[in-house]
Amino acid sequence: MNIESLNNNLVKENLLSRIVFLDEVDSTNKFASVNYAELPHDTLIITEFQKMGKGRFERKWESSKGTNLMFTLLKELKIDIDKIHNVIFYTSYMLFNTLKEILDDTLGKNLLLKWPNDVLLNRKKTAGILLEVKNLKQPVKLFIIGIGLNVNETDFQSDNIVSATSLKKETGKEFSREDILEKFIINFYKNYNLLKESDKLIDEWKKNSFGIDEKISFSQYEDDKEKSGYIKDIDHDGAIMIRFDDGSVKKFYSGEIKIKY
Amino acid sequence: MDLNYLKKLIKIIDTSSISEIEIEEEGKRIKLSKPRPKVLANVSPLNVPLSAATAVNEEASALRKPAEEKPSEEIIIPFTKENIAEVKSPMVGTFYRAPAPEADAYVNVGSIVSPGSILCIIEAMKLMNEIESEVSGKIIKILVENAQPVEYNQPLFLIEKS
Repeated sequence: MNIESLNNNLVKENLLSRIVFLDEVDSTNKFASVNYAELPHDTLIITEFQKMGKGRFERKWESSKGTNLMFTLLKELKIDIDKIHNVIFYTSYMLFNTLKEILDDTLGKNLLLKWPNDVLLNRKKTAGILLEVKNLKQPVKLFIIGIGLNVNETDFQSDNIVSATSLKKETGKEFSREDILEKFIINFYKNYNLLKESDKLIDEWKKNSFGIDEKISFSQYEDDKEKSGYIKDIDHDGAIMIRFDDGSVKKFYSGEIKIKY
Repeated sequence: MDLNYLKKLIKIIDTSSISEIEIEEEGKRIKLSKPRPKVLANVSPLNVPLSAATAVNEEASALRKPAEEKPSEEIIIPFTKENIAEVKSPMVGTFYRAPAPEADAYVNVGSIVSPGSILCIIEAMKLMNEIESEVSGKIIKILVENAQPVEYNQPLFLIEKS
């Protein structure tokens, strides 16, 4: 990882306050969560190798050393509590746009967002986002925004071979991780207006989303039984509406959608 | 809450030794109370003739009896709203007691907390929201099972304030 060029282009341009580079770490989100009091906001934490995925949802982010992007951004944002989910839609949409810029037009068309926090390429997961919020009751909240993006990974374990991919695996080309990261940070910092326009953000997100009217299976929480149905819509409050096979339509604020391959 | 339900409640209270009841369900709260038996301390035996004082004392002991038969009312006192803080969910989501599936719970019944202590996580749309205590005290009840969905304003914990 060429930290020098990231420093020149992101810190000296006053987007980021600091870049913390860790050769290896449990997880960049966990590092941020433990050390946030000592780190200035707008710090970017980046690692070449993550020893564990972050807890609950990111299972284990498959990664060979030095091939992918794993980073966490510490960002203070003034946002009301009933709008905080916009940060996840905003982050995934900015990542989606960044990848669109990087891939050629044909492949760019195969990028899709998946509710609520994934980016798919050719219907396989290539990026995942996990957010933590501190100071929930304060007007200014601290967001710990963790992103894992499979860039040049080619070694996929068999249980993930159907559902996970990387930019290289789908295109056959190597990509500059620094270039992707730089473009993402610039997109993230230059489009804040969209974060304030909730309805517009969700509408744009939805236009690029996987699966309206697609067959999926859904589980609401850990150990919940999977139920099959269709994605009916994504509401302006960020919730997903699912029409189950028994005909009932329900709205959910959390849960896991599984694609039927 | 319909009128018949309310009437029934009033009847039950009238015929019981309960002097006050508060019920909360589905976001609606109702509080009913009836006058308590006269407080006897106002009657000072010293201001009345001896014979009358004796009579008053007899009356007093007669009146005191029903009051003493109201333990249910007395027990409630340590659990008044003043020393119990109810922690409510600030959002719709899923309740998690630990930061990761294998990790220890943030708090258990009996845990001592102070303002800023993390009590749980409410997850919504893969956003992990840490819920902090606003008071000092002891967790006396955890009202939601791990990994269950919660509604906005749903009570999550009861904390006995110290």
